[in-house]
Amino acid sequence: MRLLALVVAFLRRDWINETSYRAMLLIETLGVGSSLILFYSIGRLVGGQPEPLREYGGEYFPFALVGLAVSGYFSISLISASNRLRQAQTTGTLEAMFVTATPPGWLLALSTAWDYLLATIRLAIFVGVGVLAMGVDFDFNVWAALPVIVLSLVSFVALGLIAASCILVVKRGDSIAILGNIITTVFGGVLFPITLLPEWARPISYLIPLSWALDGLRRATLVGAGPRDISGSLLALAISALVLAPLAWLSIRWATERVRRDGSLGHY
Amino acid sequence: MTPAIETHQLTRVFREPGRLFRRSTAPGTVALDDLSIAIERGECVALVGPNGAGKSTLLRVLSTVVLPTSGVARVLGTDVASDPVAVRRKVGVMTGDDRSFFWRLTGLENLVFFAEIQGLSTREARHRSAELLDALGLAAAADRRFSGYSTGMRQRLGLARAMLHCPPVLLLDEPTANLDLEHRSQVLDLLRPLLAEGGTTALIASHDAGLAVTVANRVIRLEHGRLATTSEPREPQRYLLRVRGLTAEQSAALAVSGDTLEVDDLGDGHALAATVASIVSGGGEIVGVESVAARTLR
Repeated sequence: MRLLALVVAFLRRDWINETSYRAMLLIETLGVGSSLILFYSIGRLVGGQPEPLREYGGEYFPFALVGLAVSGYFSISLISASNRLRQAQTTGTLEAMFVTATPPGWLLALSTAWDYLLATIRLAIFVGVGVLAMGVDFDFNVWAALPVIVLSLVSFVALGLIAASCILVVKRGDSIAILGNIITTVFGGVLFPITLLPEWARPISYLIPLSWALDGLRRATLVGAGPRDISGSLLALAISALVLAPLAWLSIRWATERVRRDGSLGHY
Repeated sequence: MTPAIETHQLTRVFREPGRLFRRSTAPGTVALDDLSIAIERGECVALVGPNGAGKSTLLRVLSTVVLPTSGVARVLGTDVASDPVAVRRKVGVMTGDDRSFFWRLTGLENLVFFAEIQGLSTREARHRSAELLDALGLAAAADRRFSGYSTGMRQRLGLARAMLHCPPVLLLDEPTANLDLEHRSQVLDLLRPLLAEGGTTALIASHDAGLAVTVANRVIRLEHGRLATTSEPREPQRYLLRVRGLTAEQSAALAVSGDTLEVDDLGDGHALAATVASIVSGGGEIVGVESVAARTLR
């Protein structure tokens, strides 16, 4: 109950704040529309059913659609907590929030709520436009998709909190988060299957939770694969969640103690 | 009964950060040096001393933002180093940083948000925020964006934020700085009954001589991070010193106007003694002294 109240408080704060920048909202909406048209056109250019896409239903546009939707969540997880933390450092609100009864880890995680909400709206638009206007045919297996979504979110949020812990200590690391985002987009198989990567580069993909999330979710939503069919992806995601979640908790604890020791919480 | 605030041999040293590939060898700045104090429940203590004496650092340690380098600090028996979240529930902190609000939110929206992350329900948060805005003369500006607030209004909103969750311990950094007479009275009017009831303990860092007499029942003076004196609040004095023999630079440094220099003293003689020492060591001479009650002047 308390957690829900906190989520609402953060969402309300960011709703007021973000909607006060009206031009940005318009630009974001245009960005979503442009991405859809871009990948729909590439899908038509590619045409047919390329061999590497067979296991995901064969068509490029639905493949890219799921890729864009999931990578949106991944990018937000990786960058959002760090960005919000940096914003709070530079505007001076970090110390004021830090001296309240909400623990620092919660503050960091909750500050990303708005960005997740936006990602969800973006996802709904992608899927809605894809189905209604561009004729994408989903074959959805909810029992396979649900655990993939939950395990992926745990891993993604944990990665974001680890990145934010680094920013808390070193103050400037936004470029590292952006670089991480680019690397995972390339090696995670967002826009093409990882089987198209050079042989030597594929092991990198297997280390990125995004590639397992995409593989599992594409099979569960495009060809109706069941939990047994995607057990490899589920296992990889479970291991990643089990490793990353405690690591995130430890890194926030470490970073908070470190800035208290240095007296540098509000520095930027 | 455990004191509300207690420090034992509390020391805080700020180290200089190193450069690329080079650790700093500078000895660091000692902000608090072996400080031991105890503040009983219900006491209101004015924390005074010159700039750099360690007042703000002490408040930052007690509000869990900064860890002690050595020694112990406790709030209502809870150690600030080992159980910071429990301490944060017990304290209300006014940082004195007017940037620490969300500029595109209104005053009311800001307070409601901070009240909610302090643990109040939305309904309680709205009620309490409106109550405090009213008490601090900000009700008319409640729905105005924080970016449009004057410095004094931001200062008062900071005090309101510290009091949102009715904490048993208040840690206030310069609550009357930048306020005009009317708004200063409003702040004191809010603090006085609250502190007179005895349920709330307050530690107030301030340069405001009148504040110590109006609300405090004890004055702690820090110098170089150490406890210099602890005393009953006395009527503050303003001294007008007529001086001669100072160079232009010395006069500018001491803010001498014509041949007269104003010194606000908390009534313990420290500020006066320090100023006299500066004048004499600079080769100046004091040719006349006049004393007036500082509170009356305000």
